[in-house]
Amino acid sequence: MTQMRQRWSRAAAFVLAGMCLLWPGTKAWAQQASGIAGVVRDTSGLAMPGVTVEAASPALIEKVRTVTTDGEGRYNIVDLRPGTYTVTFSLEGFSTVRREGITLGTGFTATVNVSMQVGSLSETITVSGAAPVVDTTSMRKQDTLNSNELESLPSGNVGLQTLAYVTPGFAATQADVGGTRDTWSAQGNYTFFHGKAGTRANFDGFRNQYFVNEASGVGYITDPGAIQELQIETSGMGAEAGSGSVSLNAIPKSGSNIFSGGIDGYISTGAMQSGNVRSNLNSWAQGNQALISAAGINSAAKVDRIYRLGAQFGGPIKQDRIWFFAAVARWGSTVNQPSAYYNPLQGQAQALNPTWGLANPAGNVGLTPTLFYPGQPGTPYANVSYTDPSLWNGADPRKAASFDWYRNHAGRITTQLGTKNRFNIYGDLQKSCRCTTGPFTGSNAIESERGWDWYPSGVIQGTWTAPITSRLLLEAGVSWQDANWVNFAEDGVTQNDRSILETATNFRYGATSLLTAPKARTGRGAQRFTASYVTGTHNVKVGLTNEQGFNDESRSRNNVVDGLNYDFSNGKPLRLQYYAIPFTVNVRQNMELGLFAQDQWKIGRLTANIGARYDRVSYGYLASVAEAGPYVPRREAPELKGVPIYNDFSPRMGAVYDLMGNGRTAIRFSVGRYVGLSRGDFTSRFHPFNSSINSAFRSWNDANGNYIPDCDVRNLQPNGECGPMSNVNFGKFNPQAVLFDDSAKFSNRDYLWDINLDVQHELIHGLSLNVGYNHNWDGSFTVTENTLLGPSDYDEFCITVPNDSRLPNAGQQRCGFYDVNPALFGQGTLRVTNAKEFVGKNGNTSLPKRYWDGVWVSIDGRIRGGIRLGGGIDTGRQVANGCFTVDVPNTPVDITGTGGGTNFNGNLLNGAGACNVVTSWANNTDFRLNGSVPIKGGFNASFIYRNTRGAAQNATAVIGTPTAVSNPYNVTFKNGRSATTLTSASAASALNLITPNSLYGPRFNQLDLAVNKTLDIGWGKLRLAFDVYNALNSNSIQNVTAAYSAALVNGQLASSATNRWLRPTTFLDPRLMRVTAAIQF
Amino acid sequence: MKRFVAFALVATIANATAAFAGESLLTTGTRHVQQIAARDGVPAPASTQAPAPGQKPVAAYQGQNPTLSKSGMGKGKKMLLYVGLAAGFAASVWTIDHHVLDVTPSSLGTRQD
Repeated sequence: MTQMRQRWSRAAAFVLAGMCLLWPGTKAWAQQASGIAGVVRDTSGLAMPGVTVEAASPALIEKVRTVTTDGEGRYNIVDLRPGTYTVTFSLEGFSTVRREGITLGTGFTATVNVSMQVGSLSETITVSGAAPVVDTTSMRKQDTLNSNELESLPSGNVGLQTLAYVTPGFAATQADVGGTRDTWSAQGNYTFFHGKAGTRANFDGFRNQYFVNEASGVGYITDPGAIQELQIETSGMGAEAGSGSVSLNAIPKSGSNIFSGGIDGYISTGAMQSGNVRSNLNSWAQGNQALISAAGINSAAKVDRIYRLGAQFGGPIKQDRIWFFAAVARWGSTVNQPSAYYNPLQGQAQALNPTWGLANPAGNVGLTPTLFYPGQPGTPYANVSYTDPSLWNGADPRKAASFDWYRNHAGRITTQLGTKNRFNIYGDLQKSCRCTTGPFTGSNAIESERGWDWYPSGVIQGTWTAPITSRLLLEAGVSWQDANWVNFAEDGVTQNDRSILETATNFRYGATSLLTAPKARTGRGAQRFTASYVTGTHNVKVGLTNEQGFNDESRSRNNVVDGLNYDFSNGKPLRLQYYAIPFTVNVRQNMELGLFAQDQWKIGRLTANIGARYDRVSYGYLASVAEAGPYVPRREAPELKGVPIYNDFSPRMGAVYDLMGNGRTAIRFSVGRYVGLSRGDFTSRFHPFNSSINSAFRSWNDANGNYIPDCDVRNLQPNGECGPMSNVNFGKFNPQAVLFDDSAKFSNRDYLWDINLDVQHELIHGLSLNVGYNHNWDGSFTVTENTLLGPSDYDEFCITVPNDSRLPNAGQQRCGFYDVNPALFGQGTLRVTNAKEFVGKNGNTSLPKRYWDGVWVSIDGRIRGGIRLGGGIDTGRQVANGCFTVDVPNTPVDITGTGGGTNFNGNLLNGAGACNVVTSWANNTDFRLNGSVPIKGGFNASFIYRNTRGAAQNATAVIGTPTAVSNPYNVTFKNGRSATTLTSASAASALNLITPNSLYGPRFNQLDLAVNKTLDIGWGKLRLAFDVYNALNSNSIQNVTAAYSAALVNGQLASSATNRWLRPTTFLDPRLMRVTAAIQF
Repeated sequence: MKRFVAFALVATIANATAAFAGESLLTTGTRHVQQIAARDGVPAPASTQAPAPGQKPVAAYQGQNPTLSKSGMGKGKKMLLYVGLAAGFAASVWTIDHHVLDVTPSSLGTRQD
């Protein structure tokens, strides 16, 4: 009860802290604002200075924004909220001109040119007509979806990801079929666009992402009912933006002068779903019925329920002065995953084989309660299905489901103080449960998942906007986002269970590999101030942005006895995985300061965009203490600030040319340097707990087959059945185990150059065609070297690729693998430095490279009859060349210890030629189309269609250390070294049997449909919708097992009888229907 | 007669893509009609409900949609509807909250941070 009170106290403190933070109310920011600009001329075509231009809309709490035209007759009204506007032009001696029905989305500047004729001021000429669809002033490439479009489209799991979902060129980790994917991972499901690392997610212009690791996960989970519009920027961002990554932004709804509200809900159940298990899902087994029986896919994802109930209400507290908006929502999902069941052998190891007993010599580990999962190769249960009734004592097998739910409570106040100052305050307090790690797909056992307890979590934001004069606009804002995400073990997992990885199938069961508990809290603060000076010809903007981030995180292993995880190979013990528990860090991003200045300068039909930006990011961590654990002494790390610090200066420039001068054809060009997105792990790498080596493994030769490591596991020297540690620094508090060169600490932030050229033309009224070319490349690479080792300490070896016709080089010898001299295994100190240091050494002639060349053709807009269309085709070619030698030839390891975002595959042994990963035009071709069509009877139909590349079919093998009598892969060292000396480092690594990302499966197809009808119920509107997701009932495969298992067949290495290579780990969920009802009143 | 000619002009060439000063011919024609109508003292045509080409539908909560608060209903009846909707929603939320499995440590009181 005390803890419950503490939770509530924390929630109250969160709200209070946010309010205090916002109270000063003088620092804030705005996202990409909309605007209306143009030229006013008289009937003879002469420019008209001094014309008063007023933009009026119910979306403006101040009702009207006013500017005057400059000496060239130009005007420019900026900082307009999305909505429909009426623009009025007036000048003494001329008839007033009213232009109605100008609809603005976020970040769009509508060109409205008018001609005024001599007449009386009281005489008004009203013009209604097509709104412009081509932005002829901004070099930014962007798109939006507003709430009506979101409601109309079969959007499934609406959130920041929805725009990514309909935008050609976005890679996703897993498709969503009407909300079958858990919301958190769905909202973070935007992994890659035109090769750029990361995507920036925002809420109302403030970054909305965790400060954990790569900071790619969404921080504040948005309620779709609170979103008015979604905006995406893919390239050509001005100096306001620090990073060149794609930016997604959700703009919240606000109140108005009229009380209005809505209640909406939807439901999908298992009865509304089809099945899509067909023979293609088991073709990987090549007709091996025993294998299909043990590990075949015999069921598709089955929805238990996907639901939502939300309400929104807004209106005036005081007309034209204070508006409010509130939104409350509940939603969630329970989806049984394909062939996913709880482990009937969980906790039964001792009961299954009493002879294993509880032998536990001093210092040894006890038997883990869970050792096997049915169907995994090499175990006594290899040929037993997890649904076998004998394992369930006659009961129905217990299905395993992805399970999550969310409770949001949001409110927004908009106030107009005096004639100049407008304030917005937004807050949302939420309690949520991502009860399985997600996306739980059944590719691992449910017991290896972990729940996330999100409470208290939420966001508080405030913005201030003040048009001081008709030319000077000030904006400011602050934001605070906070998320607790403490992990908890899944049902049925005890504190004695271990996480076990079967390396032959890459299947994990028993328990999760690592728990982020008992503490896990992360968040961000942000501030921004901008000043704009706007004339008809110039739009000068200067400003500063600042962001902070924090992550307080402790880690633990599920097994409380010794915290060890096990790796098995074909059911037999292979390795012990160690972690330096207890572990706790408090990392900080102390500042991410950006100072920028830019001008949009109109010269005739040309709008030049010129800008520059200075970025300074500084990290650190708080003092932390970790008590002594089973393998490490008590550790203390003092507070550190200013490591790393990166300073960058980035120019931005571009131009937009209004080809015909009528606002219907724009040619855009932009070029700019952008810093990489800031990440949570920039500083955590430097933390002494991490640089001391906090994880390592050792071989485990279970000679007596008792599944107990018969050795003293706390003794890190080889003893008994346990081999040497993979890193001699494990178990020591030795922060110097990883050294960081100054080039990595103070001047080496990754960056991106982005060049964009495109043409947008209004084909017919309301519909535009866009054709473009994009080239981008990365710069500044860090690498990790072992100070003791060099390329000469590695010996090249070859293997024989299994004789499997599915492998491109079947039966052939594959070389280019390297193994360290056994005498040096696990030795040395790691040093992180700039890759430049190794140019001219080790045979390197240039730095590693990552670049993208791509083109696209897209359409967007609404044509006659209310038909709306969007989408197109996007294709490109990416080269990620990591043929760069630091220690291991052609295998650079980046600062994270892996290949990072550059696909260097530093954690894999590549083989010859595999360091240069080229993803072809064909494999990057992406086609997506969405639209809506009014049909008879007041119905409206809409669709989203996606056709993207298929699943990458990589092949990796853990080959094990050859013996004098067994060398199935025919490991052969080129220098004559005995194959039996292959170190456990190599034996533990996965070898690429083919060049990564060179082989892809059939293309992915998904069609979602929706039919809507809105009924007038007198006091409001009732909208009914019927959605069909995956209408084609496709079972397109999204991910497959890369682990390849081989065996000697008639003396020749071939696919083993238990080989699960290419077994789908995720495939598109079956056709699903959804019923939606929404009342607006 | 002038109006008829203008209407005929708009009807026949409205689909053309030629433009003038940022306007389409459709827009220009409509403007001429409205100018003539205004000069004749006839009110300008009201905008249509369906979005024009290029227009995105207007988002809710900006006062454009017919709402309960602006309906001709009596105040008492309106309040009754508001209260009914709110009560129904609250009851549904309560039901959801009490039927969805909640095993989070924060709810069970087992959190240790």
